[in-house]
Amino acid sequence: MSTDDVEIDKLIHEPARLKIMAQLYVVEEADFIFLMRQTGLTWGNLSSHMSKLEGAKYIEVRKEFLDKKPHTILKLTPKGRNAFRKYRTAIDQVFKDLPT
Amino acid sequence: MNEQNLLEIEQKSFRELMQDGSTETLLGLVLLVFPAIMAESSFIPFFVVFYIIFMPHLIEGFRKRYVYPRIGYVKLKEEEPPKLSLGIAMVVLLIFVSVIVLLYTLSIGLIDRDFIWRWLPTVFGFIMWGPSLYLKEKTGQNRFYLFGAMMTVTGIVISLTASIPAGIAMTIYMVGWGLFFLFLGLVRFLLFIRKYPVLDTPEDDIGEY
Repeated sequence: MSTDDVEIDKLIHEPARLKIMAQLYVVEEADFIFLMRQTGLTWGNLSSHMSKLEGAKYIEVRKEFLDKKPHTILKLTPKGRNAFRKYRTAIDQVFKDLPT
Repeated sequence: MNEQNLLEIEQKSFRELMQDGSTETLLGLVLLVFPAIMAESSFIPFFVVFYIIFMPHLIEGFRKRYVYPRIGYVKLKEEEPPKLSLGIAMVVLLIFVSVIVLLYTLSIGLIDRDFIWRWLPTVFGFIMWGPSLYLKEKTGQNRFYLFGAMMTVTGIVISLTASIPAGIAMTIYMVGWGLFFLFLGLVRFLLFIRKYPVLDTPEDDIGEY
C-alpha cells in the first residue's frame, strides 16, 4: 500500500479532536473538566469539537446532575474506538512509507 | 500517536486521580486494621464486608464531593483479568509448595509459631512489592520502587531485631506503616485541596430547575 492509498480520517486528524480521542481512548469515560485540563482546550472549543465527534457517533455524551449541577460525561463509542484504531494504523502506514 | 504516547496519557490520567491521597489513606487504614484481625479472627467477616461492599461507595462519595469538582471526573479502564500464563502457573505452584513446606516444617518441629510470627514482617514486606510494581507500571513513576524496597527493608530489620518479641513484631510493623501512610494520605489530601480550587464551569449557570 502506498501513501496515496492511505485514507486519513480528517475528523480525527484535527489536533484538538485527536487529543480528545486519544484521551478518551485510554480511559473508560471522562467529564468536561477533566478533558479541559488534560487537553488544554477552552470550554467553548471543547464543546464545539465534542459536537462534531458526537455527530459522527465517535463519542457518546451523557448529561447528569452532580450536587444539583449539570455534569457532562463523554465516552468513546465502539465506532469511535474502531475509527481511532484505523486512524493510528493509517498514520503508521504513512510514516512507514516515507523514504529513509 | 503511538503506543508510548497513549501509555503516557493513560499514566497521566492515573496520576491525576492519585493526587487526592485516598490511595495512601486507604492503605494506611488497611494496615492499621490488620493487627486487630490477626488478634481476633472474628473481625474478618466485618472487615471483608466493609471493604468489599462499603469502601468503594465511600471512596466514590468522597471523590464526588472533593475530587471531581476540582480536577474533573475520570473513570479508568477496568483491569482485564490476567490470562493463565506459564508465569502465573509458576507463581501459584511456588505459593502452594511454600505452604506445604511451611506446614511440614511446623509439624516436625523444625520451626515453631514464634519463628513464623518473627518473619511475617519480612514476608509481608516482599508481598508489598506487588502493589509497588503495580503502581510503578500504572503511573510510570520510579518512586514506587522505593515504597516496596522500604517496606521490605523495614520488615527484615524488625524480623532481625531480637529485642522485639516475636508476637508483636508484625503489629509494630503494621501500625508503624499504617500510621505513616495515613499521615501521608492526609498531607497529600490537604495539598490537593490547596492546589486545586473548585472549578466554576459555564455548566454551573444552568440550574436543575
